[in-house]
Amino acid sequence: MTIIIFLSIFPIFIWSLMSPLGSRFSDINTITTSLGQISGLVGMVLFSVNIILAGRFKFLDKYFKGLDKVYVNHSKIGSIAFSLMLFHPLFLVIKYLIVSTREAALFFVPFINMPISWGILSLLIMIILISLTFYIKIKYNVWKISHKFMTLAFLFAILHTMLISSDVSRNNILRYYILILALFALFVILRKFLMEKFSINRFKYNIKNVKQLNKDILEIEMEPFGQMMTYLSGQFAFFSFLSSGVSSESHPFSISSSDVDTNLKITVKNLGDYTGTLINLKQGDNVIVDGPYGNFSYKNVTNKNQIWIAGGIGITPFYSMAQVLNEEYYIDFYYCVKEEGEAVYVKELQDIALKNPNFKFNLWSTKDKGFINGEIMSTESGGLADKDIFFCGPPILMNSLKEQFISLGININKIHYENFNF
Amino acid sequence: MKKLSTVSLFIFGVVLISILTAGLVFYQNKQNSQSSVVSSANLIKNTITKINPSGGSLILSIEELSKHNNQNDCWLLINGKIYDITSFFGSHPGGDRAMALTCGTDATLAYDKKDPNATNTTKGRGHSSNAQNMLNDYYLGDLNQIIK
Repeated sequence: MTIIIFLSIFPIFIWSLMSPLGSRFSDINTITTSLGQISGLVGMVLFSVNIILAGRFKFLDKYFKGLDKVYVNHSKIGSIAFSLMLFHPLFLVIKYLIVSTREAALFFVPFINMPISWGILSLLIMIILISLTFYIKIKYNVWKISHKFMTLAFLFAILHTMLISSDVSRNNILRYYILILALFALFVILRKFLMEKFSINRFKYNIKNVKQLNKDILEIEMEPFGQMMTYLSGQFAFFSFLSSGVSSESHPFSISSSDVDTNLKITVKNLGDYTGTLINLKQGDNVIVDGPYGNFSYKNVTNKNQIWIAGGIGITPFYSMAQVLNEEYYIDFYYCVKEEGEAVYVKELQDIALKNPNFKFNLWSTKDKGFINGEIMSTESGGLADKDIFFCGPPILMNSLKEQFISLGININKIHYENFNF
Repeated sequence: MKKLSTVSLFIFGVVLISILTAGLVFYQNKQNSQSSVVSSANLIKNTITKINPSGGSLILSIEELSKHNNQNDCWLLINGKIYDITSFFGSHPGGDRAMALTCGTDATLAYDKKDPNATNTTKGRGHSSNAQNMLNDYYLGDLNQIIK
C-alpha cells in the first residue's frame, strides 16, 4: 500500500518542481488546470498499478496476505482511479467555461482535437465497463470478457497522455515515468494472456469423480495429469474446465482436499449460472489449474489456540485443514448453516473430532439456535482474547463477524478471513 | 468504494449534460467567433503573465525571442508572428528535434520547407492548413509588439 501511495505522489512531486507553485495556484484558471493535471497524472498511475495488481502475481499474493485481498484492493484502487479520471476533464473544462459555454461544450465533443479525443474515448469505455462491474448484473463470464476491454481504455489513455501537449509532454521525467509504468502494465496484460493461452505455470488435471453431496453442493475430484500442484490446506486456485457442457473461463475455488492428498478436490455450491453447469462435468474431462493462492492457513500463525468459523460453503478451506490437523493445535470449530440438512462433511468432521480431543466441532444451525455471534463463541470457548480467529463464508456473515470481533477488542492481526466474493 | 464511483459518475454526468446542453443546444451562434477571440486572448494573457510575472510591459523583440531558445522555453518567429510552442513538444509529427533546433530564431524557412536547416534554395513542402490552425493556438503576438 505504501508503495502504491509513493508511486502516486512521485509524479505530483516532479510536477510541482516544474514551475513555481505560486503561479500554479494563483487564480481560478491555474488552480483548476493544476487540479486537472494532478487528477489525470495520479489517475493514470493508479490505472497502471491496478492492471499490475490484476496480474495474479505470487509476490502480490504474499505481500497482501492472500490474492483475495489483492482483488479487494484492485476494486478500491479502480474506483479511486476512475473517479480521478472523471474529475480530470471537469477540472480542465472550467477555464473554458469561464470564457463561454460553447467552448466548454466543444471540449467534450470527440474528433475535434485528436489527443483529447483519445481521452474521451478511453473515459467512455471506462464508464461502460465500470457500470457493468458495479451497477448492472451480468453473468460472470460475460463480465470477465467485458472487463478485458479495459486494455483498450488503457491504450487510449496512454495515447491521450503521450500526445496531449501538457506537463507530461514537456517534462521527460514525467513522460518516461508514466510510459514505463504503462509499459509494465501492458507487459503484465500480455504475460497473463500468454500464460492463459499456452497454459504456462498451470497444472493439468483430469476429472475423476463428480459427487452430489446434497441438493446444492457438488464435490469435484480431479487427478493429476503430469505434475501435481503442491499447496497448503486452506489455499485456493483458479480452475478452468475444458468440458462440453461448461464454459472454459477460469473461476476461483477453495481446495477442499488436504495437502497430503494426491487428488485435488473442490466443493462447489450451486449458485446458479456457472456453478449450476458443473454437474455436466464428465469423468476424464481436462482441467487447467492455476495456483495455489491465498494465505488462509492455520499453519501461518504461531498461536496454536484458534477459533474457526465457517458459514455455509465457507466450510471448504476448513475441511481441507481439519483433515491434516494434529493434536498440537487447540481448535474450536463452528460450522454455521441455515439448517442441518445444508451441512456437508459432518460425519467426517465428527470422526476427526472423535480421534483428536483438541479439535472441538460445533455444528451451528441458525434455524435451531439463532445467529451465532462473538459473545456466544466467547462463552462457549472460554474467552477469545488468547486466540487467533479464522473465518470464511458469505460476505454478510464475514462483515458482521469482523465488526463484532473488533468491538470485542480483538486485535485485527489475530483475525484472519478469506474473501470468497472478489 | 462503489459509492465513490457512483458519486463521481453522478457529478460527471450532471456537469457534462449541463455543459453540453448549454453549449450546443441553447447557444447563439453569433457570439461564437467573438468568444473564441476572447478565449485565445485570455490564454495568451495567462502565458505572458507566466513569462513576465513582474507585470510590466514586454516587447516581443528579436532580442526577447532569442532568450527563449531551448526545448523547455521555445519561441519561434514565423512570418512576422511570434509563437510560444513550448507545450507543443511531444506532439510534433516531425519530431521534437527538428523544432528544437529553431527555438529562439526566425523559423519561417524551416516551417515552410519542413527542414530546420532550410535556406532559400532548399526544396521542401510546407505545413498543411491544419498545422497552421494548430500553430495559431500558440500565437503570442507580432514581432516588436508591446504586450502590457
